[in-house]
Amino acid sequence: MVTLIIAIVGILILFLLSRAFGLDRNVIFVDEGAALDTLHHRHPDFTPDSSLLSTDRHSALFEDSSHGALGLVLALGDDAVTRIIQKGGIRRITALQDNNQVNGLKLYLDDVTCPEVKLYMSDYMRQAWLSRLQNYLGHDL
Amino acid sequence: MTLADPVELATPFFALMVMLEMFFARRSSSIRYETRDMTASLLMGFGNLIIGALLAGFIISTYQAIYTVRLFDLTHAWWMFLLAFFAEDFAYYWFHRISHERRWFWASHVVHHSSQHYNLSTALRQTWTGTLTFAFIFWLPLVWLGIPPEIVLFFSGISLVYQFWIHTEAIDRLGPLEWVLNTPSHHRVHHATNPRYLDANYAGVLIIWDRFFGSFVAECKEDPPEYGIIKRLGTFNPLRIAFHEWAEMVRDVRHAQNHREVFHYIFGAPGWSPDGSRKTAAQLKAEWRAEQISAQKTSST
Repeated sequence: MVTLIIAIVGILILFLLSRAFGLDRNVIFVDEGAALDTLHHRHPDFTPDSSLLSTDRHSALFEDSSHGALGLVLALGDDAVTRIIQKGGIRRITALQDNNQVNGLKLYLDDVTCPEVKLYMSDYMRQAWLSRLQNYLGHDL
Repeated sequence: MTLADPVELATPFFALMVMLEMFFARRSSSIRYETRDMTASLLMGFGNLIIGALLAGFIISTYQAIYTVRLFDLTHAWWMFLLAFFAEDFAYYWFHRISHERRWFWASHVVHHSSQHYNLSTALRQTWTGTLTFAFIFWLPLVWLGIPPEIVLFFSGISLVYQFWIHTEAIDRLGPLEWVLNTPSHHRVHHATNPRYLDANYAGVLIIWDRFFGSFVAECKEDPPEYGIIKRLGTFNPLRIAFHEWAEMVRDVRHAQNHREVFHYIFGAPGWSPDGSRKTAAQLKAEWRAEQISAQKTSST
């Protein structure tokens, strides 16, 4: 019991300290090129013909329409995660809303290890990407 | 014989050391900490502690049942402690190696490798499903041989406590100790996803087992380790960290076409797929080796 209490107190102190030290930062992609470099580091053969950098610069989406694949780059703390999404890789797409205002898209992926992605974008880009992303929706939804 | 649990005794020390390394990280660019990653690791460790306490009785009673049919009575042999240390470390090596080579065990062990960071908090990112895999069977031969269960558990604890401090980038190489002991350098290799480093350095305390069984790879300055797993996690959610590989295994099994595929999805190498659309660590490493040989041939002609 004493060990459990020590563990709980230790976790709390370490969490607060790390926040105080500013270690809760998220990667910011300077531009689409930086996000693409991250994607290419893991998937060097991916050749996109269109790209989108989220307005918060924490995520980016690329499409290789000739091969029917999406490339996703997602900030995860001070690291990044990449995924190649094929047809059926997206379960659901919803509008992303802050203060009752639509400002992007939220993708629910068919991926246990990366279940959802927020992509902030302008209304114009949202319309353009929404129609493209429909092609990657899973058959079950 | 009653022995203290080394992990329980070391818990306050773990917290203190993580704190110190975090302070040190503010002055050093080589050590990286991230709040959510660290918190996820600590919560995994906490869950492991609770589940371990709940299921300890099952493991201990299994050990005790085997101990009743032991081959030798070593209780009074002075060299029993020495034998227990080496035997436990040897058992750990094989447990650890098979945990990387067979998906049934990897589904549990992957948790420990799922952070993209390599710091002392990563050491505490432990599985919640280890007992479910029956991983403790690797230590049963020791008990059957005649090493008392409490001694086996004591040295397992010592091994875990030892392995805590090697999860750091703050320590470079340790001279001649590198030949015998598992060190931060050797264990960085173990946590790396670079093809050169895959499936290497399974040691607990002594690196001699890796050297002997051909799984040793030295850290190479020109190829700095990239930590994590090949398909990196896109979440800090402890439940997803704990169960993601199990979920993927169940999904694969549901899509299997025959019993052979079911068997390979559960007991095959992690990354196995019937059509080769995914790759195992051995395949990735073999591809990397072939590329190296090809590059060498090109440069020499």
